[in-house]
Amino acid sequence: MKKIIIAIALLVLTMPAMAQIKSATLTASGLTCSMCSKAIYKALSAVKSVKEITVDIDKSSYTILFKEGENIVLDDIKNAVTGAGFSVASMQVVAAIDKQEIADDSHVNIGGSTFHFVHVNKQLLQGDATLTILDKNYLPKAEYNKYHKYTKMKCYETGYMNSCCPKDKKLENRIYHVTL
Amino acid sequence: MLRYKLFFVLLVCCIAQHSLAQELFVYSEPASNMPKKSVGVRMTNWLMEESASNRQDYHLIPELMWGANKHLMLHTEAFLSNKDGAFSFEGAGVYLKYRFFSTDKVHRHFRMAAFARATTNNAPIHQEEIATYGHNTGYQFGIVATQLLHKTALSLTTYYEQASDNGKGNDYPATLNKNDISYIASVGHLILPKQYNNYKQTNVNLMVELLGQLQPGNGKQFMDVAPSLQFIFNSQTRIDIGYRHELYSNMLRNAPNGFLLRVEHLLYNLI
Repeated sequence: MKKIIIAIALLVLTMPAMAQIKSATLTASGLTCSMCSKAIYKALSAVKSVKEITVDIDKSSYTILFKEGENIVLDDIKNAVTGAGFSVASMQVVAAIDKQEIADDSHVNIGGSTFHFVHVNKQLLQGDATLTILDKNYLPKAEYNKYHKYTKMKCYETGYMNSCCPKDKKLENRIYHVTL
Repeated sequence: MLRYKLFFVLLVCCIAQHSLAQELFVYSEPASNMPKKSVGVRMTNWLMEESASNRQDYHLIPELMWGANKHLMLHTEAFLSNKDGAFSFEGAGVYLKYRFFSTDKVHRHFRMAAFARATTNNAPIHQEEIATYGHNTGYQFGIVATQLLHKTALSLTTYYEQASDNGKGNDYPATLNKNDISYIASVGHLILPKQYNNYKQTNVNLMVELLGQLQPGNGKQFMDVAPSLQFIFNSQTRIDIGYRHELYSNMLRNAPNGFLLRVEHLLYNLI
């Protein structure tokens, strides 16, 4: 019995922190009209991992709830907006995190995506955390440049690990740069 | 001419000052494209008053439009009319638009696109005006720049146009000039809704466009003004009602003045 308890305890301790990307909120730019807004809404609705979208047409703001257990590719969300003919002005992701230590300028896997934390203090994340994406085409260029000075890593420019060659630009190498 | 230019500048200034506007122009295309994978069905009707008689020419232009990707869109169009007797099919065309420049900010953008159109037409040619969209066999290519300022939209379009012989033996008259430079200045104004709550709200847009053509070969030109009202239902179906009126012309034109009625429906994520 004692051995079983020790085995369970070891299993629990060695398990990675459980995390799930729950939702995303984005502001789209380049549009005013409801027909344009609907084009984005329809493109987002066609993304497989999207469960529900709430729209504020006046503010060009979209809150996206993801399906549980679905593989979430955040670039699919950005590509849906650009495919509809517009741009992403800002995007925040809410992730449910169970005890995840983060540090400045370091990588962490959350809910199947690799996140590179930029301009943050070392801390333990617990509960719902809102991450602001800093990658190219997720925010205005001035904002992107502002955060560039906080990291010297090449992946901030490429968005990929080991991205010396085009073949390295694979989904599993994608790194999303975020701040709190 | 100066009088008309002054009138237009004042008109644009007045509208821009009060305005809430859109860029889905009635007599021109904006630099923006349709969403990727979407298909649009457009039926344009013209009811034009012939200058030399009391006769009304009816034109029907069905168009199928496709957003290939975020940069490229394609139209295919057919031209039907009764201007030479019985209502009949007169020709067809293709139109391509490529958005090559875009800067987006929240509720603003500036975009530029290049476009080209190639058409065929079988109708007899009896005017100096060149119109490859509906009258002449030929081609046109040009650029369009559109500025969206919150809800105000301004657009400038210019293109080169070359006409050639129409089909069924209707050759282009040797005495006429075969090419022109056309230009369109467009401004749009959203009247309703004052505030967006949902996609079912009907949008009402007021547009004014100035359409001109200059034939460098003989110095002949015209300028028209075309006000229009646009209704968008369910953020997906659009109805345009416009009237085109000649302001100035020193060339022979068959039927420059008349109404436009257009119905357009957009299908998202189709192809």
